[in-house]
Amino acid sequence: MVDTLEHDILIVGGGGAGLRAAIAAAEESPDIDIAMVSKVYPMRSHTVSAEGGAAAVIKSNDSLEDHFRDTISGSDWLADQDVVEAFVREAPDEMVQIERWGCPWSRESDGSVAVRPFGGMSIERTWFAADKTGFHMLHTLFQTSLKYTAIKRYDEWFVTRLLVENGRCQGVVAIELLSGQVRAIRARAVIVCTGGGGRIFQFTTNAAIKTGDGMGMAYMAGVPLKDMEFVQYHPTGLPGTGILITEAARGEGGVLLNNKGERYLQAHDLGEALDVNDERHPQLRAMELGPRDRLSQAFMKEEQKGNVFRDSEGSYVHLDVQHLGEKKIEAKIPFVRELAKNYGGVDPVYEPIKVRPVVHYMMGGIDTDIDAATKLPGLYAAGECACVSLNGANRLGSNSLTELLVFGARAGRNASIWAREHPEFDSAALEQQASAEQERIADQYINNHDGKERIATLRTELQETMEQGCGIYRDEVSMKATTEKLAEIKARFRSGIQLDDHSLSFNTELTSALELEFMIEIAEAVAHSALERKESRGSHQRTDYVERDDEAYLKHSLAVHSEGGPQINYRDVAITKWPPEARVYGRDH
Amino acid sequence: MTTAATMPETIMIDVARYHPEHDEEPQYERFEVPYRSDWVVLDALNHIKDQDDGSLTYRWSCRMGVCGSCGMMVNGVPVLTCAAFLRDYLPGPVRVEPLAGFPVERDLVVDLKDFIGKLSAVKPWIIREEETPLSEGEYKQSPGQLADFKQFSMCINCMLCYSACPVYQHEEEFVGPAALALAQRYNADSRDEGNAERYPLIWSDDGIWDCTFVGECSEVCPKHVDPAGAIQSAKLESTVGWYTSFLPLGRKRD
Amino acid sequence: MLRELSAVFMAVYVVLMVIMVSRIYEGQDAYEDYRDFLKSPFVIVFHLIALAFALLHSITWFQAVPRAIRIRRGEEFVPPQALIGTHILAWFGISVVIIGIFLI
Repeated sequence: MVDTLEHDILIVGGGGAGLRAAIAAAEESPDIDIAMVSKVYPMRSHTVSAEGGAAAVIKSNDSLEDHFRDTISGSDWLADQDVVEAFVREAPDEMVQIERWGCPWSRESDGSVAVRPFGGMSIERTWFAADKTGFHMLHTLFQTSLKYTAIKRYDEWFVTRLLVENGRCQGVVAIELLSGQVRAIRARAVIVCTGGGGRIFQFTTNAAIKTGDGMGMAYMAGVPLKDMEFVQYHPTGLPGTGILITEAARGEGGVLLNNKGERYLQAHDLGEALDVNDERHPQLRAMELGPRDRLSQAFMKEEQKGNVFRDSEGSYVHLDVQHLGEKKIEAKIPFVRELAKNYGGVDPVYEPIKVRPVVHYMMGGIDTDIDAATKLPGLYAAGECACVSLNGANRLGSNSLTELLVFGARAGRNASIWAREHPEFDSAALEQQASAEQERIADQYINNHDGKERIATLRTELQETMEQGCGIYRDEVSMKATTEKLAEIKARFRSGIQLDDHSLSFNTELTSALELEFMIEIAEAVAHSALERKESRGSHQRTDYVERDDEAYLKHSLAVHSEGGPQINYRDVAITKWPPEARVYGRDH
Repeated sequence: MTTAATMPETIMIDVARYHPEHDEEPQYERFEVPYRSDWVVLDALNHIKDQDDGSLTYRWSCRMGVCGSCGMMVNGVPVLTCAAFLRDYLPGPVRVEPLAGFPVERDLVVDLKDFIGKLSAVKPWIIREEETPLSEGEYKQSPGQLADFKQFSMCINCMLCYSACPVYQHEEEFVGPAALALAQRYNADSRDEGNAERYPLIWSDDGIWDCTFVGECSEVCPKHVDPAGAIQSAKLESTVGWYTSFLPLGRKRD
Repeated sequence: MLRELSAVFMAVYVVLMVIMVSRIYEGQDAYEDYRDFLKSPFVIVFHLIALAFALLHSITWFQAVPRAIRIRRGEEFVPPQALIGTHILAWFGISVVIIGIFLI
């Protein structure tokens, strides 16, 4: 018998999107009862690590049309244009709203919010709080959420599956970590805001918690994962640890240099290098302010040519911000300095920072529509775990923090309306499902003493094969090898995991096993979607199909879960007003 | 300075273990882990969990000093284990224990409920008498006004300050450094009008006046928030507020 | 921690002061006896130590001033050294005045 709790709306995940959804739901219906279930305390969520900023049109010299066009060309035309239009339209109000809630935005001398240039943006439109924007946004949202008594939090509860009955999502099953007890939580609407799954790769900026749980559980409940082949490599991570050095370092004027001391991006069709003291530097939509996919690809080409540095931690190039001077570095990018000193062993005021591309963000995710709804009634998703098709084949830096506000709020409002209109539960069936899930966890893990496979071994093998097959440049042979390896890992996982910990209280080895289960599922979705897309677009670059093929692939991939592995279907991209063109940076066309 | 020739191959880690289902008291367990000069204590714990004992229990996430999960006592001092390099603890052994001053849930995991309650109690959100429509744009705030509270907004809730605070160790009721600094963060924000709502708690006996200004909280704070300074500022405000309450136009005492 | 310890010496010093006042109240003889007691080497050493702690307490107190009083001019805060310096000067000035009053 599993204890059952009940709420109107249940939000899985306490990061930026989840908190925004919770507040939106509370404001939409004041008498509604909201639960937020998160495997970590909300302020630990990975939104906290975002550094550079959040984009929204606020200045009089900017326009919604320009933000729209930058986002579409950044996405290599794989974004849905109706979604992008809604996004750029709602972004300014959302940003003003979080300012009203106290987010400590950096300011101009007249007291208005300051904006900085960012990669792929044609004008300065990125709001920032020095270089800890995500940290400040997350804490502002969390602290603001504390004033809503309608929001009940279940901190450090791990959701293991969605409860689906009668064609509707009606809650979740979760483990209360402290006691180890399995509970059912019924809810009239469920919003998944669990972030991405960058941890399926070996070398990533992503925190340990980013294991794609929400993507995995929606996928296994029959919701497709959309555009999973598109994985963003951020061009500037610290070698070894993968810690992120924000794009703001380049937005403020930092430059990338290869081992010959050259501004190598100019050799990769990203424009011409201007002197760092030139007034026009940094140029918008060019060179260091090109989009992330193109910069990461340029690194790989330089590596092939032998133009990169090498040491015990592998290959790297230099990110040089010395010319900004100590005062500007301290004012605009103090966290870059702190991270470079602590984890990169250099003080960027006096030395260049060693950087290399690193897995950063998943453009793909749970297939949602413009209302943040999935095809499973009662189930919504927002933030990195969702794919509303704002980012297409390559996300522009500083669009994702705004995305979690815009679509988090939409999810909260729409879920609230749905919950009001669908009060009834299929209680008996839900209870049965919860009991079955409790038994599964007990049999598969807690009471299973025969498992042979160690979590860390399988996880490392998974991360290695993803890096090999689904990296910046891909081809049929390596991707096939990866899909086969993943099938092998899945089979070994199912043959039994060897746990050292069979107790109930705060069993983090159990949660690691459950996370690995989700990781394997979404890794398969990534690899199979990538294998099937026989073109190069945005972050998905194939050495065997080097051109973009709008004829065949101006389409979203949809990975559907099945016992034999993912089935890949396609859906047309929504083009409202700007048909595909050549994607050009650093020059006119 | 340790040169490559004298660099050890391994280092000993003594970890406090406690399991609520069968332990009365914490016990120490020694693990030998590979020594790498770029490893932090958290890397050593991850190595132990992955290779030696999967039941070792601790919190961690971002491993870049911003999520605030991985605070522990290392050789008796509260630190973020993701920022505590093994090279600074040579030749070892390194003693790792849960944050002092909190009930232990298991091994290195402590109970945060008391802190979370106190965080909510100081009303850490913008309070205004009136809201203007969003269409009127952002509230204006000069860079100087931002500087008035910016430092106090940098807290990552890692709890090291509570662990270092001698008052909190003896008086559980004390609101404590991080929560009081957060109250000061909102009180000093030019957009906020809620000071009067926060004063009853922070000026109470469990609030700022419990602090004896030992200053350990600011010593251990990894983000230079200076909670001790925040509390001192608040004491000054409180004192001025008390005296001016006797003036004809002064604030009402309650 | 020395700063916390200084409070103990301050407290003992105050007790000695209070005793002195009560001796004065008791009359000339009692006061003279007490003065003899104060002249003993042990008590003198105590007062020297107490003076050292008083100075330590005062100086660390003034060093803490910038953390309690944050004065901003435009975008910059008044530098801590300036605040500390002003307070120490004022302390010195007031001390001179008080000593002056007693000497006159």
